Amino acid sequence: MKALSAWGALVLILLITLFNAGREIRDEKYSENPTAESQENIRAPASIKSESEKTLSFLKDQERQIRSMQSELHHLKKCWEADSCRVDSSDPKSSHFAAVERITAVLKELREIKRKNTAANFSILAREWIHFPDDHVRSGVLDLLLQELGDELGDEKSDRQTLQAVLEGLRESISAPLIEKAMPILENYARGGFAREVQSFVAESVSNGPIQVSEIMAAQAGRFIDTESVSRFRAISDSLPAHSRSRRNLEASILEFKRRQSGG
Amino acid sequence: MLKPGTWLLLFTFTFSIADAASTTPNYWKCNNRIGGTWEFATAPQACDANSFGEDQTLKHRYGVQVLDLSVSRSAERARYMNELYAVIRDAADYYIRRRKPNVSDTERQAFRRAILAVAHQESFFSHYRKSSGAYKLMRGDFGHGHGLMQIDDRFHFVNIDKGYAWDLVGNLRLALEIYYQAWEQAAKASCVSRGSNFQARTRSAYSAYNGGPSQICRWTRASSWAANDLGFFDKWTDRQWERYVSQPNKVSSFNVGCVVDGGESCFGDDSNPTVTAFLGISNEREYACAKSNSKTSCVNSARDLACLSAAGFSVTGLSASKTIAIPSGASLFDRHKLCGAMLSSLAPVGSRIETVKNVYLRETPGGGALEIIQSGADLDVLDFEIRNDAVRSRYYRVIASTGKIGWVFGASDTANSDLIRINDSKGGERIVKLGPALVAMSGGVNLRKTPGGERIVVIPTGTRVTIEDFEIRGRDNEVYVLVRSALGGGWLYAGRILPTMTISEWIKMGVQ
Repeated sequence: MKALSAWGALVLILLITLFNAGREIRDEKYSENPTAESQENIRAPASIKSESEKTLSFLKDQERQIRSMQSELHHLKKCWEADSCRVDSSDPKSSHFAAVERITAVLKELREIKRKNTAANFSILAREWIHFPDDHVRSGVLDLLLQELGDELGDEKSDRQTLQAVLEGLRESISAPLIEKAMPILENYARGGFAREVQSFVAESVSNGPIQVSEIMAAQAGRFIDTESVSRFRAISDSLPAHSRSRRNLEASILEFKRRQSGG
Repeated sequence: MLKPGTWLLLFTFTFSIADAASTTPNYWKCNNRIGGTWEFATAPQACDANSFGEDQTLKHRYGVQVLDLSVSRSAERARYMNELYAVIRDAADYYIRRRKPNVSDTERQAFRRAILAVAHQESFFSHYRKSSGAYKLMRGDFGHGHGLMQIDDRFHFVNIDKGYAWDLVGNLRLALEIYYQAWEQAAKASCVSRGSNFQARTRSAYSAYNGGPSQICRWTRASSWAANDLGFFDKWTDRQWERYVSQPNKVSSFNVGCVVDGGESCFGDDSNPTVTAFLGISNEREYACAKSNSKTSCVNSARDLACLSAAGFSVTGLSASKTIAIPSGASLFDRHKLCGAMLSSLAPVGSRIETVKNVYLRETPGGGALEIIQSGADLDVLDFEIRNDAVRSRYYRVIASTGKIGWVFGASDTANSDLIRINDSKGGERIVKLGPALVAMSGGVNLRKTPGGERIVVIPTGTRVTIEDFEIRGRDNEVYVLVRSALGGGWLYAGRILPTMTISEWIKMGVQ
């Protein structure tokens, strides 16, 4: 079974990589002409072979779904750019709403694939779609990334790119619920070696981000403050308007951090 | 190159999305709709405001920003326009300064003019009006556009459902956040030669505001929506609102910047220009203070000024622009003790209340309704807020058995509530549970003789304790628990309730 799992994972990683790169590929390329190394892996007894065939069929089916979704996302982006996803003379945003409705549905379907197959990785897709200027879409992308939270972080370069894309996407948004949704993702990156990048983002959002984002970030800042950054956050708090909710929230976060340090 | 069959796929796809129903129906929560005229303050249409927030709160906050349809229209319109202009002007100025502290005066004025033109284009400065005694909120675009800045309920459903577009400044703040984002994007758009070309920047930002972010250069080309862009530009050019605003320097009836930035005490008596209260700082903690006969007394936050007022201090007007050092000898009161002592029948944080009738659970005190809580429900009190008005209305932030958190109206000085009953038993299941618990904080927690007092010993992580009592203190509703343990008895800090709950990081309750 180990060999089968390895084979399945190998094929799936190949599929996702090709999908993410947006290449035109044909089924037989990777399913019927496996590499020599893969062929080595699938020399197995007949019963396992039959299991292997089932797995292959499942993966092929999944790959077809992914490719169809990729194509749909591509078309949606095109019609969104041309403002032609829906023609409704009573509403200037109708095309935008139509595109968003469908894009979020596709992202949901991708989440379902991820749920069934934890080896699937959509981080390259997430990096692209987190920039789409609509919070429903960004929220769908975050849901996809949240499903990957249990996975170990990958190679540093790829993780850094995904984190940067997420931070840029969040900077482009004014939505407090979106920021709240992103918190576990940011915490995961902060714990995984990117604490400074995440802290800088939090500090910048509290200081001069959209006000509702600043308020939420200030309330949640305690998760990201450490002994090195506390003085920076103290300076930010002092610079915020005295009556602002952001300042009250940040003060509470700093105070709670100090209590943690001292044992309460 | 399109492959054979792709056209059919595209057609099917286009058809299917065109067919898809919008998530929010036309005229959603639009009760008792009335019409209007395409004039300032009365644009069509308007529906009952109380679908999104409490009328009492609307009146308390924005009483003078309501157009009364029962009085002489021209005089009333002139009054209303002066009031509304002051709010929009202050909100726009405050917002851009907050986001861009070094903004030039030219840009600030350009931004203000753009926001005024958006308010004209979107609603003719219409927000609240009063018809046959009922408060109405302007609803345009088949009911999807809410209020002054026509916040769209398909785009911003969550914010609208929580009442943020019903609230006049909440509505403006949402629009300012969206428009400012577009304003910054416009500075770099291909159709704007340079950031200081404020005319092009204003037009681009409006195209994006009206048509979505992909339409930032819509105003430069022929499109089905050119009329919107041209209509906006005409309004921006003509500044017709100025004909109705006779007092452009009028002081707003409340502190607009304070509301935009989530301030705690921006309305009612606290906005009186005769300032007696101020924000002070002592030992790195902020307080709201009032002076009486040269004696200064302070309480944890500005929203507790009603408790100082109940204690006999004159609280009219809060100077909240900066904090000043609290003089030595001032009395520093804990909000829980002071408010509990001064206001009868105040349910303390950590206690439980029971609903006697069906009540609304609201996002903010008096704000958007989240759900109806049935009579007989048991609620844990997370916080209280007392309005500094004539009757000191009490609101409670509660957690319902469904886990949903929101505010319910409690009582006032003149009316003991027939909506809720205070349950005397201490130790709610959802805040502090008396009985066995485990210390959770890594590194352990200090055991002290009194809450926040002298340290006895450090109780290590994972130690079993028994919680016998608890006390809530301070602005953030900090929780202290009295425990028994193998290392002795005393008080432990056990997290805070505001602005986010941290109790489970400190102690795991109900664990053997």
